[in-house]
Amino acid sequence: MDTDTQLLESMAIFILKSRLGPAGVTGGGEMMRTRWAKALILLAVLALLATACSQDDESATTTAAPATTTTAAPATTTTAGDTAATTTAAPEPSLAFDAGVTEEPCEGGNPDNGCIYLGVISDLSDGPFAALAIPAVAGVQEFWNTVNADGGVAGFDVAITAENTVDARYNPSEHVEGYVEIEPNILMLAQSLGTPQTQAALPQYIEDNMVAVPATWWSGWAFPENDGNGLVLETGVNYCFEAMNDVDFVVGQLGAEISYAVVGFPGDYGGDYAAGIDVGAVTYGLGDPAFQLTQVPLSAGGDVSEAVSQILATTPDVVFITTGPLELAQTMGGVFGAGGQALFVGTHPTWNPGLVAQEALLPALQAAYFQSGFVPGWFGESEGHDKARAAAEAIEQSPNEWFLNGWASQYPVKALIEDAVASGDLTRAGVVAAVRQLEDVSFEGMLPNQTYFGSPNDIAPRQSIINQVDPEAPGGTVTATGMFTGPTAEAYDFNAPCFVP
Amino acid sequence: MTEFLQATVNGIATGAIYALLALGFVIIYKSSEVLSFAQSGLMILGAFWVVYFSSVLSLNFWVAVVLGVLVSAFLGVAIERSMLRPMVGKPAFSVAILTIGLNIALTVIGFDLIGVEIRSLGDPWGIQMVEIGQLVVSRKDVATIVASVIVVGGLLAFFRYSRFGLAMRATAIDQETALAQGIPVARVFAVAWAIAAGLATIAGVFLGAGTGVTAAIGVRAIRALPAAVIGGLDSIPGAIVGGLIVGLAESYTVAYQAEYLGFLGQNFSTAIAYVVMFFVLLVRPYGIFGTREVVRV
Amino acid sequence: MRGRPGLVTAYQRDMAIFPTNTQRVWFVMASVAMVLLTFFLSDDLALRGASAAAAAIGAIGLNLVTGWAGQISLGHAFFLGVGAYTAAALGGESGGPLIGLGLEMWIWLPAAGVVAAVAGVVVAPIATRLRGLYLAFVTLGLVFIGEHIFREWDSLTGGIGVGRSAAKPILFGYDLSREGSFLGFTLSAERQYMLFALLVLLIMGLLAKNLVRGRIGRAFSAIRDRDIAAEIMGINLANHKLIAFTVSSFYAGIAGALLWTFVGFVEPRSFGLTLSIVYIAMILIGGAASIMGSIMGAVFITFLPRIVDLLAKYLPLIEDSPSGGFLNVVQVEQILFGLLIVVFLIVEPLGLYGIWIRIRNYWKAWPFSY
Repeated sequence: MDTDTQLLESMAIFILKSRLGPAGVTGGGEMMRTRWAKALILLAVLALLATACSQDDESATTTAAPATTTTAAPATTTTAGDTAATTTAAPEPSLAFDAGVTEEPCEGGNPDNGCIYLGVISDLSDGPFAALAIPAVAGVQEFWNTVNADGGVAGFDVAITAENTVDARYNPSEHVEGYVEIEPNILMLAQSLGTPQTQAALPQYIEDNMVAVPATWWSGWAFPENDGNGLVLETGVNYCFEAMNDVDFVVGQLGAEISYAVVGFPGDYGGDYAAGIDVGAVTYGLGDPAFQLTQVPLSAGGDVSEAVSQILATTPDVVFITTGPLELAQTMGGVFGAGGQALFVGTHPTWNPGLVAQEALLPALQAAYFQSGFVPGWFGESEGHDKARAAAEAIEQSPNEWFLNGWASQYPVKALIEDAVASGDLTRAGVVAAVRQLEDVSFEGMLPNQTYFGSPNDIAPRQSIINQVDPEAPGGTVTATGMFTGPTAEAYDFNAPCFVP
Repeated sequence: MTEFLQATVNGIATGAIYALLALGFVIIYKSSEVLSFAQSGLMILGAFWVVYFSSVLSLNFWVAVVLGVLVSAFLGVAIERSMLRPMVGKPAFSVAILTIGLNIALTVIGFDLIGVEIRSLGDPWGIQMVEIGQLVVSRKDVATIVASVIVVGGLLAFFRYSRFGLAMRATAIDQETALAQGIPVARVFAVAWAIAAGLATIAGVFLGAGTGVTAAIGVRAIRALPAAVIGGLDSIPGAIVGGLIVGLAESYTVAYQAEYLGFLGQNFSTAIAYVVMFFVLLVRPYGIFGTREVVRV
Repeated sequence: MRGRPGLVTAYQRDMAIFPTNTQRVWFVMASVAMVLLTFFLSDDLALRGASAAAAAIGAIGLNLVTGWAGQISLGHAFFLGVGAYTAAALGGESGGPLIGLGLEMWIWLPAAGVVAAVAGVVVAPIATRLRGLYLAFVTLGLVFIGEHIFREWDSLTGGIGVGRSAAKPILFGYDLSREGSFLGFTLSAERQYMLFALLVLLIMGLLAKNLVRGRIGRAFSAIRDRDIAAEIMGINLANHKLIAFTVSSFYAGIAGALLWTFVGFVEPRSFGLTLSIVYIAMILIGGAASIMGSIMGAVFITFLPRIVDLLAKYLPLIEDSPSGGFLNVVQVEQILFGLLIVVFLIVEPLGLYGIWIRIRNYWKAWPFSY
């Protein structure tokens, strides 16, 4: 009996000790210290791990480091907003300004210039377009770095700081939230990415007199009732005309006896393009699509299996696809992997140069994918292209059409600042007034000059370009056609947005 | 009929992936009674290790996989030692939430390492397909099924025939008695986590094969949890069965739901796993093969 | 007796929400301080404050069902979503392409709570049948099924990636989203939101405290500790689990309605598993089974992005400049979030409230340390 009890006792103590650790039953204070120490060590290890990984990973990523990829949230009120009402000596004594503009030079900028702060709300990590938006934001950033290096614009340097950059992850609520946080510090938005996102924030933009450059090409932006009477400074052809040009191209290649299908993201991005396809289909008598599918972005939990199975079941000749690059890759992979075939034509946000690294997919991409775009490709010949390429080299940005897109989108902003300063009013209201007279903006040859007020039927750009996949080419594509306006788009009477939700 | 068979093969392949993840889950639960939500994070990181060894260091694909599994297993052990060991004896809910927190951290780091591009695994299957009789099946699916059968078979053999497998089974039955018998329970916990992390890595490799590894593969990993629940949280055959059920359910949903149950909306396959789980739990509250809880009051 | 707070002579005193004078005084002072603080915060901080107050309501709800009644619910995001969309449907613009009735806040706010509570009633019987972690999984499934419904029901939600505008906060003709003035002070929309949210939090918090100090609250604690023993003692498990889920969902509905009205726009992807985890984190970091803890946790988590931004200026690891760095601020915030859960569970299971208790006890006994 005794030995049994002793055995049980010693077993109990053994178990208790092993459960409670070295401090034993009377743990108390020592236990606390050990636990805090462990927590600290854990954090330190993870931090070290992160630093270690960062060295290795710099060379591993296929795109260059972005210019700014941090979120907004000015921790404390910055000088930009505070100098709102001051009337101390300004560079031009007659110039009025409020939010987003200071007489003090930007950090690291020309000491004689004032500073204009612009904001960026984009998709920099989680959303479907992060791979495109990061180089686009780099393009925006480098445009202004080049302008600043040349002496700035109208006596000001332009700064896009990390604090004024919001990563909205293609989520409209986060877009709006982020906007509210950076709004006091900025004069204009240098980028507002996503059609539904910009639409969600538009009432706020209107209330705050905030001019925004969209990274979205919905046809509705051309109409004053949709863009706050001019607040949205779109550049380049919209999805609707792009679609019409795509149909013209496809019919030119395959004739008019083809079946087609349409796959697109939800909302105006997919809807606008689909509407343009409709117009083209009517023109050529192509009939109804074999199917039309709304594809939920993968980053939002969507799945391409439905699109793939529909394509395999209905075997259309052409699939017009308006999604992001991941969805394109998986859909094409699924279709071609199952032995199916179709010609895929994608809108300009659907392509990502990184896709050429997909060895499995490359043959299919080269043979069966066409990409439409709104800016001539990397080796376009223009003054703007030269400058952009030089800037990209300086920051070791690999050739990427989206860098050019971002770069080109800023020309109207520069013109606008110049106009506003010339008229003596660089307040938000003054800038909005200048927008309504913005005409004949030069893109240094990258795009035809564009005017921002007037009848949409007259001023909306209708030119796009078709590219083919070529893994050797910089940016992964070569031009198949030049910039062109197809007959459908040419003849189209543009008096209303192609698609309204 | 062909459509049905194609969907079945596809479902079995997807189910195999879920089964691997669910197995890891169940192994941890059986041996240490910890519900680990960290499988999806381990999978994402595991896929990244393989991408790193294969794409960045340009090693042979199979070598990369083996190395990736080893690194992942090591990470699993490290996690168990540092975070789970202090939690021994704490209520199960706290530990489960801790693994959720851990999963968040792992997922974010994994996403950041993978980056916004599609990363290639360098796998030999790509998107090619192979013909088996009337069926056209992707080589990747075939490889998934074959590899999973080998891995699971090996694991079962390990549990059945090896000394340490026996030790793990003993720990699963009763930790204290096992400890009393001289079994190094702490080491069993660590090995359980190592195995789970390794299984997650293999699952990640097959998810990312062909179309490439992106941050989006993490979304699918969460669906392995209902697979484990359907089979029964403490049953190894249950995990396999549960995984297959979920895989097949998703596959049939994609193939047939639009025709017959269109009112449920598009992309219902993302929710079908949970619906199945609901129904299974209504009938059998502990999963198909799970053991009924007997609790002392 | 004065100076003898531990001496309790009346049952009412023992059960009171604020047993001692000190607590009453602190409560009043804290409330007044919060109201005054609204006037000194900048607009974006006031908006965050309003969100924190609304989140606190949701956290209290989750604490009731998980912290007090021990029913692990990972489905809180679903109930928040139900609340937000009910509010948007009832209070949103009428006549547009989406469902909206244009009603006022005094209708849609309670309605949001009630509809969410009804959803809770539907879920409760499952809780009776399942225990512990199996319940957690089912509630997890609820979140995903809810996500699917929100995604597909476009006429209500606008669809994924698109979303819709939220309810208009119009209370008896007074529009909270327009600048107003009060006793000579101009109140921006954000400040009005914060004041309103604080008011609702005050009411709901007191109601919750009342619930947990009474019979039902004690029944919850009994169920959490040993539910079979509780049943033997005569507590009707099914009824009490039903009450727990219903009340918790009501709180979640109110919180959801408020939170998204403050942002002004609601999109289906917001209501995923991550949101549920955020609320679990709030109650774990704040302190389970504690109203004060829920509020502290909610405030901490809501302000975490700002805290991380501040840290970003001082920690070299975090990217603040164009080149170098490993993680951007959003990612650091998420990792920190995950790590905080881990650290708090290992080191301080009672959460921020536990830390507060330690501090309070230290000063109570000062200068004697034992």
